[in-house]
Amino acid sequence: MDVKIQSSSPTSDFLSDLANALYNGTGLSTAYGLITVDSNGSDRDSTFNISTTKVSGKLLVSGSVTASTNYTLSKVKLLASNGKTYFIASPSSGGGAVSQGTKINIYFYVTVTVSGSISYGSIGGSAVPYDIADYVYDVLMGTRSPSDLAFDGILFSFKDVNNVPISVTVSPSKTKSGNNINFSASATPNANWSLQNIGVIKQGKTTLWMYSLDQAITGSAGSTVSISASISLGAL
Amino acid sequence: MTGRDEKKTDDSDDLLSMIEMIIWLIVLLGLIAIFQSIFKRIQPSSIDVKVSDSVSLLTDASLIVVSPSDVVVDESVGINTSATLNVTQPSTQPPASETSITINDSVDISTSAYLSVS
Repeated sequence: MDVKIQSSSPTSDFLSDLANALYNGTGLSTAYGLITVDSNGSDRDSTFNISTTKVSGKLLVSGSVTASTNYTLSKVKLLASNGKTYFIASPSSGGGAVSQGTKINIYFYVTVTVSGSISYGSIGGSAVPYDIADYVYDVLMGTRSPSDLAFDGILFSFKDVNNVPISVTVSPSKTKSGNNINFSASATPNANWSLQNIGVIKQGKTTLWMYSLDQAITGSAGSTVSISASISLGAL
Repeated sequence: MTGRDEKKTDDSDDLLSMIEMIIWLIVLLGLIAIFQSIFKRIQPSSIDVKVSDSVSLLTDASLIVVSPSDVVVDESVGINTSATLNVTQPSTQPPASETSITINDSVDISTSAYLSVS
């Protein structure tokens, strides 16, 4: 018997921890356990013997529990090692009735995506995910520190009139309100320039995500390019 | 019969007796040899059982002398063991049921940015 999960969502605890990790590199913890919940909202069976692996761009957290009694499986929780519940998944209507002794194999996939836009006047563009999802997965797997998520550089990928890169990296100023993070940064190239891509990076590590304009914009030497951006977190 | 003839007859009797004794002796030795051969066949052959067994314990030890009066032994023994457990349920019991749950969850990092040039 397969129980299909219809809807699920990250908890506010997870979003808060992720926001803190992006803002100052603290908070986000590793996946620790899986718990089944019955239709009355009571925790039933749990396992802390879980495995985590990356599969096709997703994080798979898997584990098995044995039903301690007869109950209707209503939800599955993914716990973090800091004691918080990071995800609660609800099954489709009717749930799944399990009988005592039933082995319940749980396959919990987590997908992290980046979406968004950039604009300059009438020119639009989009946010492009780079390594941010992998980094979040690595933190949940315990193979990377949450400090690696704290972006600390804005990479303006300028090119001069000969199309030679004259990239400039500056540290952003960041503010945080709830789970929203605002940041801004400015750069002043000393040559005539064109610009299409702006990366949000962890210096010395990687590009977490990038803003890509639909078309390159140009400017003269000494002009200042400023970016102001906001980040919000939620479920798809 | 003369006295000389009587002596010849006695000597011949002695020689025959001696030859007879020798023949009996040979027969006796032959019987002994036959019996020995039979006994050897009857006796069980010997079996040598050699047992060579050994138990080894691999242990690493390091000795750290902190001070002339203190001896600290830091020892470790590693046990590497693997086991495979196979449980067969009695046929009278119903087979254990199994359920699989697959969950797809997602987190979206939504971001928007504005550029200005001055």
